[in-house]
Amino acid sequence: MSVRIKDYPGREVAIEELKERYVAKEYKAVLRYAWSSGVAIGSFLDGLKRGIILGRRCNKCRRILVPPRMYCEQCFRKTDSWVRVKDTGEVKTFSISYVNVDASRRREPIIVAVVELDGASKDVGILHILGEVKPEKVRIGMHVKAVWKKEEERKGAITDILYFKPR
Amino acid sequence: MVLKRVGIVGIGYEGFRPSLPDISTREMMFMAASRAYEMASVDPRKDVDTFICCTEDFWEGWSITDEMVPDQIGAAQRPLCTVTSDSINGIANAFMHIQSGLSDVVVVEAHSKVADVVTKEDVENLGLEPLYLRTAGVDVDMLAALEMDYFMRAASVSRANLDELIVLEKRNGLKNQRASYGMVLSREDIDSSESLVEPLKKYDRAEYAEGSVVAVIASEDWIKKRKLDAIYIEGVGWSSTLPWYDGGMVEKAEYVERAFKMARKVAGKSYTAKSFDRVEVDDTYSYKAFQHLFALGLSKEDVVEGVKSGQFNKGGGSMGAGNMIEANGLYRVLEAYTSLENEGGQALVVSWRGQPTATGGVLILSG
Repeated sequence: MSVRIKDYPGREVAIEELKERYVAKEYKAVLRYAWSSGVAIGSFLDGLKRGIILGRRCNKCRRILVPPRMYCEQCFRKTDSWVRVKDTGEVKTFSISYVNVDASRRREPIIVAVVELDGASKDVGILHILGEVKPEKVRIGMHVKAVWKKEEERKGAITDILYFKPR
Repeated sequence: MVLKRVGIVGIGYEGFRPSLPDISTREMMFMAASRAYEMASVDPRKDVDTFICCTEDFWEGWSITDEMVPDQIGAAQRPLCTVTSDSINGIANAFMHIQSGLSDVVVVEAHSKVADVVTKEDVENLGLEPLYLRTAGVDVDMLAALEMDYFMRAASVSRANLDELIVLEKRNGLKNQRASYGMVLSREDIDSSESLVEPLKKYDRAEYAEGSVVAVIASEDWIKKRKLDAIYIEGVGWSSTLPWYDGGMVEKAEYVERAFKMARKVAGKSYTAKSFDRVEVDDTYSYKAFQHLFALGLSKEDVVEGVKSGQFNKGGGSMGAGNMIEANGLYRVLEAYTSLENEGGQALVVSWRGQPTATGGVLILSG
């Protein structure tokens, strides 16, 4: 887990025990959504399926936004054109996580990072994970490259990029 | 202390369709906001002091929705808050921002992207009290049907009265270019339509629609300085009361009665519901329109006559344009605004937060 922590103290309360001892009435809501991705994110996801990363340029502030937006939030105007950015970039910030999204513990960490893509504006980055690198080797400014799923396995999702690896 | 007069200087919308699969919520909001700002001649990045967005996390499908709404309405890095209620409450908040001196210009946005919600009934049912209502197997349409039955008996409102309202509003919807559910309907069509929960029929409940409405609201001083035209907000009120099933009133919507009283107090005038050239009233269920109109002090004869003469919801109301959840209030304001801009006069707007609430708001507008 870490150099100092080899195990966690205390006892984790299991879901079943929680229900049995503490919950008066259980209710399970079935909440399902099918969000319209819209023009910007729809095109971005379609690009990922084709193995390319798309951004939008604002001609007023000259920023290139990735993921793309049909409007510039700074200038409050429609963005002007599509731009294809590279699938390489540098790590702007990262964190080594020992917890899963459900707050359960991980023994093998996951490295989450914000990657500033080559061709996008400064400080415009996408959130993803790093792979093929040991946690202690990750550095701010490290150059990375996307590792894509095989073309036939891509679905038009951010997970069409498996991870970014050092280059 | 003389309080500032407050007016609406621009209103824009996008959508008003059963489903808008080709644009995202954010893109829809951006278009509505762009139209409102163009109409009001304002730059949201410079001229607007505060922004209010009426939104409910469960309808959006993500929590802390307020964090996701500023950019598309020009509010990036600017003061913005959300109001989780019908958009009349958002306008009431804007009114207070201006009257308190906090702001000169406030933007209010509300929207529905309800076709994105696959399990709408589950979101509706999450509004029910969890320990004794929800788990008893009750849903919001059952509550509506029970209230409808009780109301019709208590207030002597007949099936024919409701049918007349539905037929007229559906026809009014056909005359309104932004209304998606306008149609020529007969009483026989209603009679033979699907029964949801007796006595509630399919046509008694407005169908859902998607859209965004944005209003630019400003102080009279600012409006005069910019030499703009405005529709003024003379009074605003809102109230929550006990739902009928917990002992609240059923013959009339007490929350509307109280909200109307508050709005008249704010306006400083003794209006009656008959004082207005146009009345936009919540009709997301047919019987609720009657219940809301009774709460304004109108008699059954007044309401029946008003329905016949097309005095209420001239644009088709929610029966014609669809139920746009939190945006319902702003939709009614849009209809009233358009009418007052063209014809002048005064309008009364009545909104309701929907089942299972007993919460509503009232707005008094003058052209």
